[in-house]
Amino acid sequence: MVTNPFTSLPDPELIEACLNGKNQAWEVLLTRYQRLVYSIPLRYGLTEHDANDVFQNVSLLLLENLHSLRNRQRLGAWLAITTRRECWRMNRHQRQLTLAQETASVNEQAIQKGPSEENLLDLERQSIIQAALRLLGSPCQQLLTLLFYTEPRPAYTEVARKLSIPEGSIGPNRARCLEKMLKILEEMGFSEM
Amino acid sequence: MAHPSFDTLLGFVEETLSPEARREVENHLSLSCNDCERLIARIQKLLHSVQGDESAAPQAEVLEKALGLYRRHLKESKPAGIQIIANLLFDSRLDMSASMVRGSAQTRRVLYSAQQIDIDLQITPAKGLHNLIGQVLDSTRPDKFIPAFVSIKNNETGMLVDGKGTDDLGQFGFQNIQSGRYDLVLEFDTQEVEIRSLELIKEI
Repeated sequence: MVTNPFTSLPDPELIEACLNGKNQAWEVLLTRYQRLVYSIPLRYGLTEHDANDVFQNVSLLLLENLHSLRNRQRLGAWLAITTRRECWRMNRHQRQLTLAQETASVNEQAIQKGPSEENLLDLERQSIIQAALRLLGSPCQQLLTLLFYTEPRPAYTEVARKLSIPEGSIGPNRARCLEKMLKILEEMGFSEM
Repeated sequence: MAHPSFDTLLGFVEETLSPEARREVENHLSLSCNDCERLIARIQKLLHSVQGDESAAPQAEVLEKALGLYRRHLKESKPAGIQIIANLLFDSRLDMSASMVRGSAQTRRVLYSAQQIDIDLQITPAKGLHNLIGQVLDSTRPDKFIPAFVSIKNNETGMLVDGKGTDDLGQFGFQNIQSGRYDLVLEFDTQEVEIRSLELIKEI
């Protein structure tokens, strides 16, 4: 299995690697924050199509501004603000294009409402945690995905059946996997997460 | 001092421990164990995040397209847009007569201008921090509000602190800003206006 050597590097080192021409570092960086950048426009009420455009724009802005990011440890916050700005620009652009005043007014309301600061922090954490989840490997990745990221949430009996493990081992395994995840987050530079 | 295991602390957070086991953890924490307190806080944040996750990922082809951007050259700088530095027209902190008229008023009012754009700022102290609200106006038509996206950056560190779009009345606001020097960047459709080195200081 070919592994990406940059997967668990902290943001400042990833940025440095990107600037040194490492394509794989860019892949890790973008994948790490993909959920944050993509979820913000959806929270603002933009369509999936517009959210895709915002995602591309923010990715490009990140690439263009990598060399000038002053506080590389706060990349998540920079991305949240930049994405918010792109949502605002997208809304402005649409308002200029549309002739349907009613639609524009609805969009404007959505854009002003948007996610709160707390929501943005949650999204940032969720994005990074899902990146850490991908680094867990099996069987932890499967177990936590079933327990936390599957709708509707399956019962322990169902989880045990799917993973072919005794039901009684789910609790201890769950704890071990969460502990492992916190260690990965620490390696990634998110020791307070 | 033997620390409770991760399993035990997880059980403590999720309230699944027996009363005796819970008491043991509480006794341990009462000895001011910073390591365990920190770990408990991390477990709480982790559970909060995984249990309430409503984030969405872009489709694979959207991510793929963005990954492909790297193949282009890393640009050294953004394409230069039109950038204008705003001029200070009025600062109630510097205007003694205005301060005296206002008496003990805590709100500081600052007015900047850049070409046809006026930026009216009000800075209010809030428990050692500062709340900043502002309005962007067309100086030729006081009833016209100009939409902008406003970013606030720390002037000393260059760090982007926050950013918001103006509302229907051209207003924006940032809360709980720490004392320091800040740059405000107002982005319009075709130009940027920058207010440089706005000082937010604690009033004595």
